[in-house]
Amino acid sequence: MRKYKLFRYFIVALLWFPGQVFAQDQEARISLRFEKGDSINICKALVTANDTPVKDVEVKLYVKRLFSLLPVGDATATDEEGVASFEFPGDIPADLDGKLTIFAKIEDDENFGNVEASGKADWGVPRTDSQKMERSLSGSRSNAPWVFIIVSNIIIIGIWGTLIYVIMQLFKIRKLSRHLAKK
Amino acid sequence: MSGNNITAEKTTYETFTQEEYMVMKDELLRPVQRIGTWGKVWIAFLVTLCLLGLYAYYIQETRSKYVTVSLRDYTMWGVYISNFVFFVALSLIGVLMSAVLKLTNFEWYRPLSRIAEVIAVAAIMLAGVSIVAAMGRPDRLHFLFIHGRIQSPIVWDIIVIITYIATSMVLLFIPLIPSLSTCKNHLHNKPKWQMKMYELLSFGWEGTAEQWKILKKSIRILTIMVIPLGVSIHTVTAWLFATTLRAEWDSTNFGAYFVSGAFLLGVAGMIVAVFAIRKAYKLENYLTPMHFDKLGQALVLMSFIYIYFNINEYLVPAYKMSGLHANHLLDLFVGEDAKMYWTVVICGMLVPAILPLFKSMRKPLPLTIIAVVVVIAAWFKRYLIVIPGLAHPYLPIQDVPDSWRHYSPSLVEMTIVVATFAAMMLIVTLFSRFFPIISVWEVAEGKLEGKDEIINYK
Amino acid sequence: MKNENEDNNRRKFLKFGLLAGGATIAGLALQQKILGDSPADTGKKVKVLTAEGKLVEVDSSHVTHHVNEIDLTESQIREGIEGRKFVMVIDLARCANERKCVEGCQKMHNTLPPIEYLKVKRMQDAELTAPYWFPQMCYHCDNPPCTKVCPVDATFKRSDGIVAVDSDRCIGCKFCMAACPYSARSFNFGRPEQVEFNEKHPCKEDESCCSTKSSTVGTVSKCDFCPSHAEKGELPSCVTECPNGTIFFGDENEDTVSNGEETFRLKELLKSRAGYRQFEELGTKPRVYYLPPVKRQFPFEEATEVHNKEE
Repeated sequence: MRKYKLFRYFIVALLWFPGQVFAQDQEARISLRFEKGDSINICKALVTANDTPVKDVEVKLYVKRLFSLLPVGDATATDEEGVASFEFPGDIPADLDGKLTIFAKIEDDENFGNVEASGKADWGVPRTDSQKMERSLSGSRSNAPWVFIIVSNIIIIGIWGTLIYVIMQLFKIRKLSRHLAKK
Repeated sequence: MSGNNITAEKTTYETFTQEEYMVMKDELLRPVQRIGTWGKVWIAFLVTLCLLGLYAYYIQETRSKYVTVSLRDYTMWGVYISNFVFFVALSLIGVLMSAVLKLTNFEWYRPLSRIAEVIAVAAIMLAGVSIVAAMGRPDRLHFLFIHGRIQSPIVWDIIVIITYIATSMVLLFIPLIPSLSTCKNHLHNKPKWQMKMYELLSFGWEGTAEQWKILKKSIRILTIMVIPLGVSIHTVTAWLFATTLRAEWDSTNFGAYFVSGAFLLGVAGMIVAVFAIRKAYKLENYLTPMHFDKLGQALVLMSFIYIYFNINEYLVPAYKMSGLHANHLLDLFVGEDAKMYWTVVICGMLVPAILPLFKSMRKPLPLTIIAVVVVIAAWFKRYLIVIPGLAHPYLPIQDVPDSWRHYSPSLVEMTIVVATFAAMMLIVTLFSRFFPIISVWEVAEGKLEGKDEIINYK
Repeated sequence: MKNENEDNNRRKFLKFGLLAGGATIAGLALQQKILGDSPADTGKKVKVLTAEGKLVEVDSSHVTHHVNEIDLTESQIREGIEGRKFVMVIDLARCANERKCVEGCQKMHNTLPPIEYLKVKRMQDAELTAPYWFPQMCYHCDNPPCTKVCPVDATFKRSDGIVAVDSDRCIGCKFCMAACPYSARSFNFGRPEQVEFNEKHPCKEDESCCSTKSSTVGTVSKCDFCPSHAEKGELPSCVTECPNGTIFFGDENEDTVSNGEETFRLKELLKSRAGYRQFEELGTKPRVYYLPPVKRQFPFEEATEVHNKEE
């Protein structure tokens, strides 16, 4: 019995592998097109397998961020022409280079597995370097407020100046005495 | 003897007789002239305590501070910082007892001013020592000068403390010049180096009218300058706490509260010092019951001012009992630290405010006992300002070992604190053994009160 | 005068560190080709500082093997990562007090209990309100009370929002700890077990766990948002260690936070979940937001175990 069991497994495996190979053969491709509309930007993902459009495949759209991919909108299925189109939101901040890296992905599809494609678009909201104005950043030694430096220096010089003046008076006392001694 | 030195502009000088002066001078120079056995024992005792403190510091710095010091992440400031605040407060004694009284023409300041100034110099130096003892990396002390940020209250504090040390020392030294001349002329059987020191430091003092004029002017400038300086050292020290967001220190009242406390401590410290010096050096003729009477009255005044600020500091927030303050206030009023808190309120404020109202309590001995109680209470008051609040932060302390919750100073810490006290007394004692602790000429000048200044003694 | 020179040298040294860093990138590509062979001369000369403090010019290929990553981060330590503004969101509904974040943080920073840069506290706002678990660390405030008071600029705000500590500069006055209303800072008192542990587990260059050198006795340390991870586009240890995805981390400039599994728009998340900051009234402007513990994923269970009992 045991032998047959193994045999059965073997047959199953034999059938499964070509299936897998065949499935993998159907390699899908996504090509991204960015269309700039009047008020909205549209991102179109064309899914093709062996150069023919594939319909009814779920495509998800992402934007690349520092730590992960940010999903944009809901998953959309491709239409008759193999195109999934997304209205791209206009409020996503741009990357460091001023652009957005947009990913389209087919995830865990039974026919195509995982497929992804990416492209860059100029759709990001430009960055504003507001952080330079922050009070906390001007807290370093080199950024000490000038008012502070001037006022503190005036006080320090004033007091130490007086102290030095008083100490110099001591030497005046001494001088006076020598003068007397000579007499 | 005198005629030569009188200048044309001032012709009439009345002075005490030479005999009177010689008696006064002999009495005031006596502690310098001869150190008795008990005097030596006292010095040896203080030196031993200081050495113990140095040894404790050595242990602290060479072994793990987690073991030698009982500070932890929540109570990261302990007795070193409260001791620092105490010494800064004590150093204001110079401002109050010498400068304020001098400028307001209270003639009884004369025999007290030098005592106050020596204590001020010693106290402010030991405040510095306390803060170095509290540092995690004393080897990086010089970073304060290389990398110092003028925006930081610590840097302000260092600037004012250094300035105050310098000013107090000059203010101590300048009125000393005529006394040094007296030492030079009238001390005998002293080592050569000591006489040489008097010679050098007396700056060729001869007591000419011109020299007096310069001397008086310099003293006046410094006396005026030291008042705002003294107030600022303690105000800035208060700001070290008040510039943080912690509920217990978050007060606009803090600077004035600290300064008023310092004045109370200053008067109490002065009473203790006057009593000790009067007894030890037998200077009853100069430090009279009149001084105790006046100091007792000053103690009452300062206590009431301090009580006023304490009411502002504690009762106003307690009336509101906001969530942020409740934690800390309830701990003081009814919680773990309540015993210490109420003892300090009674001993440190009510006792000095009420008891010296009675004339019999302003006699030297009872007043000194009151003053000792006030000084001790004042030390614990600083402890209460610094530590209990730290153990009651905004967010609850959880999941920590017991020692992280409750702070009680370790043996090393207490040894160092005791050593700072010993060092302060040692500085005052040694000073009084080398220089007349009561200004001969100022007292003599006082005897001629209402006449004119004394110019012609040597 | 001497100190000024030293400072100058240090600055120069850092510059060369950067130069050398540049050389690393050039060298890496080359290294891949050669694979273990002695490096061929690239012809590009770089200046390096020898141990004796002498400046020498060597071929860049020789430098690649000796470049110390820590030098690189040290020059960046004050500036921050360009263009970033790190932000954290903690979803209190997801925290089950599993303390994996605490352990991950301790591992990352080579600290032993009871030292925790990240704590999980049991909070209960009022008697009748429900208790909840509250992970808490340095909030990297935008108006930080700690950096304001530092006398030597040893703790400072970086352009990427991180409040960092330079443990080579810190003098151990602990003023920053007094100033922090959140008790987020920790002082290295040189606990013997900790010192021993740090000696046994020195900081590895490739891990660069040392942007907060917790091993420096006598200085202050705290949560540093793991900038060495962020530089590589990796999330901080507490975020990746959390089994429930409680902690989100990201760049405010990108308006995105992620816990590794899920990624959200920061503003939308805070808006839809009513995010708040702890003690907003103190005006510290923390960079750590909390999502209130509503619709919890786990029922609240009291902790049965007492942690950090040992001294």
